[in-house]
Amino acid sequence: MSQFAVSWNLSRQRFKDALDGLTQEQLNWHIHPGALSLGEMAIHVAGVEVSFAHQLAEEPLDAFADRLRAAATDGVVNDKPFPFGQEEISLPTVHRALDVSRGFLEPLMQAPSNDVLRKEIVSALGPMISGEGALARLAFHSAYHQGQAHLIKTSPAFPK
Amino acid sequence: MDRSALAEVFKQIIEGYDIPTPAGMLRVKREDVAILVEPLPYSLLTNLAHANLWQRLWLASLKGGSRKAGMEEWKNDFRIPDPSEWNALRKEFLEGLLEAQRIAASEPFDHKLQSDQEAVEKLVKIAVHGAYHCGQMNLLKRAIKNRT
Repeated sequence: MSQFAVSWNLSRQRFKDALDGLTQEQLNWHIHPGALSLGEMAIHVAGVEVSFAHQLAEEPLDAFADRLRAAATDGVVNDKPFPFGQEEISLPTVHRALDVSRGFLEPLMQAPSNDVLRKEIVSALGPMISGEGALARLAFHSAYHQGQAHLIKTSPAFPK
Repeated sequence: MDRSALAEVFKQIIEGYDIPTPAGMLRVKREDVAILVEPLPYSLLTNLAHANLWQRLWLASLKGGSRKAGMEEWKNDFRIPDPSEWNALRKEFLEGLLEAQRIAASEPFDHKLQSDQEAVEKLVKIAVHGAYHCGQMNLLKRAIKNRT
């Protein structure tokens, strides 16, 4: 297993587990205006993975993966609408998103070449970063959102 | 796990690459830190106290502290601290992340656990737990800002 894969696997699996069994209403609930719902959060996590992996590996994206890529930024760090509407954010969609992004990223996480580690790509907030920097971000990104997911799920107002 | 990669993970958490820097995110007026914003279950201050407690215990174990040293503190997990503790908790949490980064990058590997593997696992725990609580604390801070 490569450099960043331990932290990535651990935090990503915990994040995915936190979503298990959630209803569509729960996935689309917003704890306060402007905060991501759990469903949007999961699609955003997948979107950042697709965005970075696509730039690092230069593999083509199908229409679904391209919408995921947009979810890395749209409606999260800019004022554009989130690329997925509430009506389509359900557990199967969330699982599909995380499975698709894993498919793109896992080979890079497991055995990144020196070219991948040195490659320059655009980060979610805009600056150019190295492939090594991108993999380091992804190693803790889902943990960051898993913490928020726990807070949302344990809120007394979270839909039962 | 390669330790240079682990040091890089700490660097990115501390310097806030694509997430808010912990130092900036935890710059909050003292009168706001204990506010409970419904429907959130606890305050920023309680969250920081919890995050800092576990980070302190894991760092202590890396430095050879007794496994039982934190038993009393565990009983007070998720306590409601007095707001006057905020600055000290913030300072300890931020310095703890820097100390974890230093240990991850140290050569020879500066720890008192039985194996390097165990120390790496402890550092991964600190990194993942730190990122987890940075996410929570940022959500809590935004809720405080949005409450009116």
